[in-house]
Amino acid sequence: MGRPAMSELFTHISPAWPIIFGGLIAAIVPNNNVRKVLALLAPILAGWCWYSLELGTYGVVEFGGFTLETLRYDAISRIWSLIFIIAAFLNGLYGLHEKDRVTDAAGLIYAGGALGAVFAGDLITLFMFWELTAISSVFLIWSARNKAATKAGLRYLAIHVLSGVLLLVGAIIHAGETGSWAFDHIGLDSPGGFLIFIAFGIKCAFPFLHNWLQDAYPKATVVGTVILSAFTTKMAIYALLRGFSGEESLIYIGAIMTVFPVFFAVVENDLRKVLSYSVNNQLGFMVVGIGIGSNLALNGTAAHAFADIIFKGLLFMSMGAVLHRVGTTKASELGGLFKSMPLTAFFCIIGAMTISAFPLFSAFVTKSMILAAVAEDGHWVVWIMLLFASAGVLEHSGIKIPYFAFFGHDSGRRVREAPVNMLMAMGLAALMCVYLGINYGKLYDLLPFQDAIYAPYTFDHIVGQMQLLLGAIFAFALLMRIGAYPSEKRSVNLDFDWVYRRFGDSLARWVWLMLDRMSAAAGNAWDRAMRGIGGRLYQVFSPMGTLSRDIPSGMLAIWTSALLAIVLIIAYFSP
Amino acid sequence: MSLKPSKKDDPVHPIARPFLWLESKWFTASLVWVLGALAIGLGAIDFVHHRHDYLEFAQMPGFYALAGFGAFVLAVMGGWFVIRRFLGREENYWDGEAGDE
Repeated sequence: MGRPAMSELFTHISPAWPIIFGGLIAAIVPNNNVRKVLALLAPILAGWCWYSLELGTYGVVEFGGFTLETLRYDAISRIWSLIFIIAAFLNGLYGLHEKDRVTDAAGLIYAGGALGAVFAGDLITLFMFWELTAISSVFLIWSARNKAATKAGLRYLAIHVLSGVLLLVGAIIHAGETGSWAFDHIGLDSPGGFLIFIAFGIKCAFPFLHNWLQDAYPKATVVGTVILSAFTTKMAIYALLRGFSGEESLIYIGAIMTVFPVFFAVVENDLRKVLSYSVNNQLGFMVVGIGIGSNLALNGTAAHAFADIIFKGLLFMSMGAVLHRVGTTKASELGGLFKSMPLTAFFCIIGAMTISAFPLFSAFVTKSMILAAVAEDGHWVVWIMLLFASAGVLEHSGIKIPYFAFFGHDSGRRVREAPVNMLMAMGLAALMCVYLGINYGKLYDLLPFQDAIYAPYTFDHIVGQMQLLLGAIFAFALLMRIGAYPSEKRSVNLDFDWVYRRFGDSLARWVWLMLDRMSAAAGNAWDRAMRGIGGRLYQVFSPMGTLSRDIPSGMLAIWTSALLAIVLIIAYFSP
Repeated sequence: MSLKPSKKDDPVHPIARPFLWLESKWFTASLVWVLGALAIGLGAIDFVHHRHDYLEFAQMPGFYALAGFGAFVLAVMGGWFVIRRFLGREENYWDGEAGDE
């Protein structure tokens, strides 16, 4: 039976192109309605291209002596590209109310760039799309059009361009060593591989490389933060899975990533920043899965990335709606918003229950695959860390986000419910969270390794998970009851970015000042020395100098006398 | 004359109205006991049904309930006593970032 005729038009066209071209057109179209049509139509076209594809490599281009593979469609890129297309559509829907050409264009180009990176079959193509995402996404931060966003955007751009440079240099070294530019397993055996690993690690928000995320995401626009949350980090997870699956160090890096954000998120006042720490936490689970490297673990990573893009997007959308209506996402200023934004509150709770991995929600069937793979591999310390992080994520994203925004102390703010398009986007995302949690077979069918499928709904798993969640929720209620839960207050917490934002900045200023002073002092000393020597020479050798009274003037005469004296001395002492 | 505000003046969203009991004192006061009972009840299932797990120590009755409780308290105390105490700063610590978005 033949393929539908319409579908043939889109066969072998990368789904990245409709979205990138949509973004380029949006950049020059002044009419808002046209741009909004593009924001929805481009992902739909991309979806049609995706649907028309069959596994294989297409879009091979010879360029400058390189063979570029722009469309590698295999079992891994299939699931990643689908969720990126879905996210692009949801983001377009969520941003329908916003009249901002920069966000419209940047959002589409950024999403298309991430798709292009996922389809890249070689390191050159990967680098080009890698940089495209960096450059396009910074405009989502700058679109906030305030001083803090401008500075954060610059820091973001610097770090991400550095990631691109490391990727390029690493790729060149790697290609020099292996003779191949193919983007397959890279490993850490060579310096090139190590540089690529760090490049991926920056975008993956590895510990000590993570603060661009908490710095930039909360400062982007309402829509910008939602868009940002979907692509960069998950693109990096994809790249890491391609290049470094089974790399043991990732198990420990990922475990640390799951744990440390929990403590920061507990006392963070800005709820969008809490979610940014939560991004770090969830990425940690995926990184651990890549480090384990078994088929079950890699399936878990792919499935969890898919689910995460939806539920984390949903949580960012709900906080974006709060920011849009109230003007702040500071927990200390919020509370009681369920009375005026009940639908947003409902969708937020769906997102919160999903990220907490309640049964019947998507993360229950995805995160547990990673935990099972870790246990099967015998990493019980890492398993305990992930268990702690699971309770931690319930604390900051499962309870704190909905409780302090929509319940808790009533701030007295009475605002309008979120715009209809925002509610529709949140509703669709919430529906997917539940659908994938119940009809998880549809998600599992997309997983790259069909020989490692997990059975999530066993009595033991459900009871164990409910014990964990109820035990943690009881702890919250008890701590609140006895007044041992920290109150929300307007404050910030220092993180590793202090090293380059304050210490590094101060150090650079100090070094600059010292160099300036040293330069001035050296200049002065040189001048003094020259003046002193010159003065002395002048006093001795000038026509009015001491020697001129008795010795014929002129440097030639002086030097002749000196050389003669030396020759005589040497001749005298010679054997 | 009724003192009840008309629906037009009422700032509470109609969908939220049936859920105002969530703020009632009896609910908030009883919630902790209900949750405690549920957690203990779920943990008690392990005494009548041997739960199989990948790791042996996780098969201990009530393991996950205790782990959830302990992990939550550890997370909160760690955040409060370590992060906020040692790393907490005034909101205007970073120039230009103190205000709302």
